[in-house]
Amino acid sequence: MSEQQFDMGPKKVGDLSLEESRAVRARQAGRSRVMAIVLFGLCALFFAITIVKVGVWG
Amino acid sequence: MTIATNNISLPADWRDFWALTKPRVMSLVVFTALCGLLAAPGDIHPVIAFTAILCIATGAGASGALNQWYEAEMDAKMKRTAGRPLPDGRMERESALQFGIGLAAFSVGIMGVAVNWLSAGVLAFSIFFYAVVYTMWLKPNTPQNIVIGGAAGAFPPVIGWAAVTGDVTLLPVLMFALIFFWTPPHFWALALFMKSDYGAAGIPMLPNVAGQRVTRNQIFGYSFVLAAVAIAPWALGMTGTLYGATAIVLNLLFLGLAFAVWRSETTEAAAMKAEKRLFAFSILYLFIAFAALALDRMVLV
Repeated sequence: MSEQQFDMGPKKVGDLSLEESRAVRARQAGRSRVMAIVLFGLCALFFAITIVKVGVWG
Repeated sequence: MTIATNNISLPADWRDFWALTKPRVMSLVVFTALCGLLAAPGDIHPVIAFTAILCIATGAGASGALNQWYEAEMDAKMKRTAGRPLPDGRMERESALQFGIGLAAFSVGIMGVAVNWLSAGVLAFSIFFYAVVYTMWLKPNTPQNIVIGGAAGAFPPVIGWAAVTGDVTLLPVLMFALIFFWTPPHFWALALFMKSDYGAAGIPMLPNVAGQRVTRNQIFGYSFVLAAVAIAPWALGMTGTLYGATAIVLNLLFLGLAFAVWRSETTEAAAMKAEKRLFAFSILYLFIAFAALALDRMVLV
């Protein structure tokens, strides 16, 4: 067995325990959901602004 | 946040990014901006009005994030702010900086393209004023930090007005002055009963530097200037009696509470009832004054 296998430095993603991995993924999922909502909202807003600016609506 | 057993750093939660924007401060900013927008003469499409308010709120969020990025170490020393994402170690400092710059660029850019470039320019200047002039320069260096720094929070109604009209006239300047002269008595009332907290962080607030008597005198003095500025829109014929009567009643109450603070000799923070009353009322004061102004102008114009 090589010495590198006992390296106690920072853990890589693949080295996380099940509990750690779940916690990281839960955070990432929460942020992704919020980002999706924000991006969807911005798409709707930019569409509405464009329609108003070209004078079709109002 | 870390998982204690293996010291794994978790990515910051979206709620931490939300907390960086100082949502409570943002609510006051959005409200005063909306009042500025409603008080302005002329028409604005609801979509463009919504965009303007969104950009002002986002700009205020950017200012809050940049403020927290710069003050992370100071915040860790104060009980009131120690639980924020950066001093609590829930977020990397660089993330707060990138988030703040991103929000600032987004808000100013969209404001310019969708609304007009005057409002975008004032918004950009207000973010710069709060994040750089107030946070980095005034706050750590002078006990007059709140007086000059108050300008940073006074821009939203001007931006709201400029979003509709594309110019800035006397009434938005008076709305600016109303918040500008409201800020010192509001914050100094807070500073009186949070003196030890500010002292621990090394922030030269007036009570720590000049003493409580000087602060009480200044609060009372500024309350008279505030009253004059608040009544001016009605006295100059820019609003009707709805706002005039509201302003007179509000300022009599404000002066009464400021007088109680001026008379008080209390040095114990826990016993500072007059100071706490003035601080609480000052928030209500601003909401009612701006609501009355907007309502009055909507009826009048």
